[in-house]
Amino acid sequence: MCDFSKNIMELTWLIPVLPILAFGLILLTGRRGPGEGAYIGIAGIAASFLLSLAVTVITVASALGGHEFHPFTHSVVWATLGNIDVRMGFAVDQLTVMMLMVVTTVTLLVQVYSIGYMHGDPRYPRYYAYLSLFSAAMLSLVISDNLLLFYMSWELVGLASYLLIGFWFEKPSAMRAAKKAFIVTRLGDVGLFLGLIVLFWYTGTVNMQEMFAAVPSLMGTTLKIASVALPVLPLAGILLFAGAVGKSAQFPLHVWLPDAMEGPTPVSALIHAATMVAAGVYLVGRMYPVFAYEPHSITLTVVTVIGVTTAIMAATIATVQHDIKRVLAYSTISQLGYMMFGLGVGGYTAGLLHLMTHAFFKANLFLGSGSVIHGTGTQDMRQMGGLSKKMPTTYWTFLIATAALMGLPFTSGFFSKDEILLEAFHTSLPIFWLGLGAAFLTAFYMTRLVALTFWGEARDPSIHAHESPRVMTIPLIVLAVLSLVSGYIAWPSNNIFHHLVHFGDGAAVPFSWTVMLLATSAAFLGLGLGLALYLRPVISPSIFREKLPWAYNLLQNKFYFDEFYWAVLVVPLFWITKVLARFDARIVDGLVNGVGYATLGLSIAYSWFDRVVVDGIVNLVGGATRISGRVLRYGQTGVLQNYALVAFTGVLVLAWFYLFR
Amino acid sequence: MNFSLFYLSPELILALGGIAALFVGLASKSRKGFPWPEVFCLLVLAAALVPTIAMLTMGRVTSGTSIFGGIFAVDGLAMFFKIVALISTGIVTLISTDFFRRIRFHRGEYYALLIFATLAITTLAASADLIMIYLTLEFLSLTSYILAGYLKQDTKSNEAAVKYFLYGSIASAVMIYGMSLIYGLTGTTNIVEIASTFKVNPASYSLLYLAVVMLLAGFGYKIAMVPFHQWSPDVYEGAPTPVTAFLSVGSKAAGFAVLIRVFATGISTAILDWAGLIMVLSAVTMTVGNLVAIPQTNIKRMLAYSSIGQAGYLLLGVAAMAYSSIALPSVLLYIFAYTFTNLGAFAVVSMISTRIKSDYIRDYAGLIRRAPAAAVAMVFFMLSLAGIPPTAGFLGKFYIFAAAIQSGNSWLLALTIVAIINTIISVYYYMNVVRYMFFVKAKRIEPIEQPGIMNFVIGMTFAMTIIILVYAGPFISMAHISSGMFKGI
Repeated sequence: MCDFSKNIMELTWLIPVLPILAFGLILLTGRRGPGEGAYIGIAGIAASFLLSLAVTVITVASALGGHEFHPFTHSVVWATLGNIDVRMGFAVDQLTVMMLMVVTTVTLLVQVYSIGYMHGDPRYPRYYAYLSLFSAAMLSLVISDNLLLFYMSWELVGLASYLLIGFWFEKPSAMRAAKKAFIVTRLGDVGLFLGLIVLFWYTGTVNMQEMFAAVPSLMGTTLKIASVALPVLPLAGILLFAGAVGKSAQFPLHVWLPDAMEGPTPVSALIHAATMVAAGVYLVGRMYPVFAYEPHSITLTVVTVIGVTTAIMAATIATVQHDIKRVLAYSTISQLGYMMFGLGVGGYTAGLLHLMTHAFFKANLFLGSGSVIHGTGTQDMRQMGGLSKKMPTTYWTFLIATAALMGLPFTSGFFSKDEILLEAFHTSLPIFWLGLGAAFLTAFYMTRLVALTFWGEARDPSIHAHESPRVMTIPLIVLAVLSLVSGYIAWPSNNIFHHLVHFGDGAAVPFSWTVMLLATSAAFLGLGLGLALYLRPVISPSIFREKLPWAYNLLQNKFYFDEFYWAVLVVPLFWITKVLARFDARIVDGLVNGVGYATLGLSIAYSWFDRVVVDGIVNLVGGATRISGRVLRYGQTGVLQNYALVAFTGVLVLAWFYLFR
Repeated sequence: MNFSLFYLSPELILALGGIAALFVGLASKSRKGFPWPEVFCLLVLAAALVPTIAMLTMGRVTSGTSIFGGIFAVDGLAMFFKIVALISTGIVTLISTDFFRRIRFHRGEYYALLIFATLAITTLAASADLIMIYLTLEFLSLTSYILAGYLKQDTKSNEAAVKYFLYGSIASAVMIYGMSLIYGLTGTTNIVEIASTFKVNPASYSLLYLAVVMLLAGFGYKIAMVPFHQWSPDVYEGAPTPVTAFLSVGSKAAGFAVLIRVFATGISTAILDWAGLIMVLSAVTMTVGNLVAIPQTNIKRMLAYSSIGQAGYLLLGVAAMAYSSIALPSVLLYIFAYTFTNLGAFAVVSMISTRIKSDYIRDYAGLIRRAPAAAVAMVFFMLSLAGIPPTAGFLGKFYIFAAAIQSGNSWLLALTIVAIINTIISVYYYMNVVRYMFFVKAKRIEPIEQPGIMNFVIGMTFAMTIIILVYAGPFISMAHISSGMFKGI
């Protein structure tokens, strides 16, 4: 790496700092800022984007350069605990730059898009301030070289997510959704924090590279709690994974993400589709050496099972939802499950590739749905229909992203999804078949979504749809292009992406025509079924509801997760708090009041003493001071002769004082 | 002899600039139009400041360097006091611009006198010979007498000038008697040679002692030390407020410069325990100053007594110089902090008093409504004078007390306790001003005009009062560099 490149790389710390500066500036200037704050936010993230681009080019060039690649790191001592220096810093490797590009690109596009979408909002500058805060936190999460900074940023993105979900806090539903998202993800965060502590305890460092180096020596180490011996590595891995489950909305903590759709749609695209929810996947990828300390480790099995469960469950729920954003939310959950089990079955490259392609096409889908909502004023697909003519740009970009999500050939999703299935095919056939099922369901519900929204006739005559302004459609076009082409860096015979991002010795799993054909047919089957039900109804769309009403209800109610948690967790919790409150009111308060009365009695006695004796002395001192001031003042007669007398007397007294002591 | 005209450049600039200022004043008679005399005065001061700072920072100055056969020292101590004098006169010039706006007076001469008084301070700060000290002290006094009586039509100003002149003459007469005694004992007037003569040939203790007390009468009058302080309330009250500001900062700093130089270089504590003498005077000075400040109703008189009290704290630092190496930097830091704080307070007083036409504290009632910015700044100046965070005054007091405690001398420890008690007493009258400004209802409520130039002065001194504490590093290191380039005994 030449000196110039090094200088650029050393500026990596600026990438999160620029948006945080924008955040501060927007807060300070408010509505008076350029573009009411929007331009400040965009300038901040655009600068980050350019810097990320430079960092990416340098990193990729040096990784492909043939020499042995070392991550670029830089850190400073942040705190010293005993004899351990806790260092804070950043590390840049291929995975980092991939995330940097994804995050800065999508953030930039979303911020531009938001100029149109949020136009006229009473809290417009605040919206941009929050977005900038989010990007700063997300970017520092990405470049962090240690788990501590990672954890701090992790919590900060959670905070930004909370603020943005509840951005329209006048709506009780938004308020509740924000609270729910925060609390549910916090459950996972506790796990992440415990995992961090376990790893810190056993490795004596928070630096990730140093942790990885210590992993082999931790094989077989156990942590004894009572008489139960827990192996440290799986324990740490599963605890870390709990954090990922919360953040990436995996089963059983997925319930917050659909509700999070209460936030503004660009926020859903950015935070709840492309970046923050992918942070869980990024965590697993980043900490992969802890997870894959041996092939098919317990930790990876857990990741696989949770991932595939989530993928199937969320895909089934998505088939019966009516709210366009909710369908996409469940689709996101399902796809995140896809990435998770991809990582779980050993498809490190495949899972992370899907993270990237998914970020682009899902952001595209969300922004497209935002455009639809902007144009029609409703989120219910039953009121839409026939929008393809009225909103052509939105329609075509949406279609491209849909194809990518389905995994239709030669779109970006086709490459990434196939790779995940390929890995599963080589590792575990049941998982492969379940993944295939999820792919089929995905194709089906996406066809349904497109058909209900864009095709056929307009179902609600009161809605007059119109195409969105340029500032919103241009980001859509950019994302559509990315949805199409971003998969080509992983062309099976010349897989550059795999060359850059791989784990261990990095041998790619051989390409298999069988898998590709099976996956493609699953997608087309889903597409066909969807067309048959919704485009030219060969089969009545309501057949499922009529023939299997219990199953339909089960899906419509999202497997009753919310109700289950309410009954099993929330209600008992409230009950316990009530009991504790009563205990507090009766017994604790009684004690406190008793002490209070006793104190009061004593203090009355003291106060008498204070008033009469202490204050007496104090007043005496104060009075004496003032009186002595007044008395001394009489020396200042204003008559110069007296002054001279004082001066001469002074000289004499001083002389006498020392001469005859 | 390592003589270079460069060493003398601040003084040359001031001397030539002072003469030129007279002509600039002649050329601009009109009170409207561009304020040439004021601007010229600032330019001269700035021009003198440049070589001074350059000498301090560029390593051209070392301890013990002197020119003209040892009568003119070129060391860190001199440079530090020159910087303080130039900065404070600059601020006084800005205050004057506003104060004399509605008064008919001879502008050119006024600013020329200010420059000459500054020249006197810079020369005094560098004087290392008794004759030179006497001459420059007289030079400073004479210019100050004229400045104090500059409001010819004002009887109080006239009274101030006359009292100042008579008292000053007496004090300097006593001082030169002391100087002649020292010359008689040693046969030299150069303070470095005085020190070396005493070392080989210890003089009669009692005679030397008497001489030192008499010297103190002269120096003590400049710094307003009890019992040579009584001129100051009358003069402070009567003199035009900018001149009062000048006397309370520049002139006082000059007194400390010469006091420190003569005692630290000329008279070893092994020969005469002057530290004990200073300690007694310190205790008396701070106590009298703070106690008598309490019943004052005129804010300028109150600030006069306050500055007597401040001199007492500084004397504590001077006494500690005999025992602690960090005492001198602490004193310098304190003076630096005091400069901005006290000038800021006087800037507020000057601005308010000329507009409400009263110097009485009770007329400051409700100032927070009439001039909110000035009132808030005044709170911080008062806090700083009382030595309460978050202000520069706190840092100064902290360092002086720390030096006294670090010395380990039990008398100094006792004196520190006296100083702390005095600090507490001082809060009473400082906060009294705040009480009037914030909590006493005003008789009149119309807002007071705040001209831009005074906003600038008050804002700048306010900012420095905060910055010296918050970003103390550079100021502490400046004090250390200055004192490092000064060698006492």
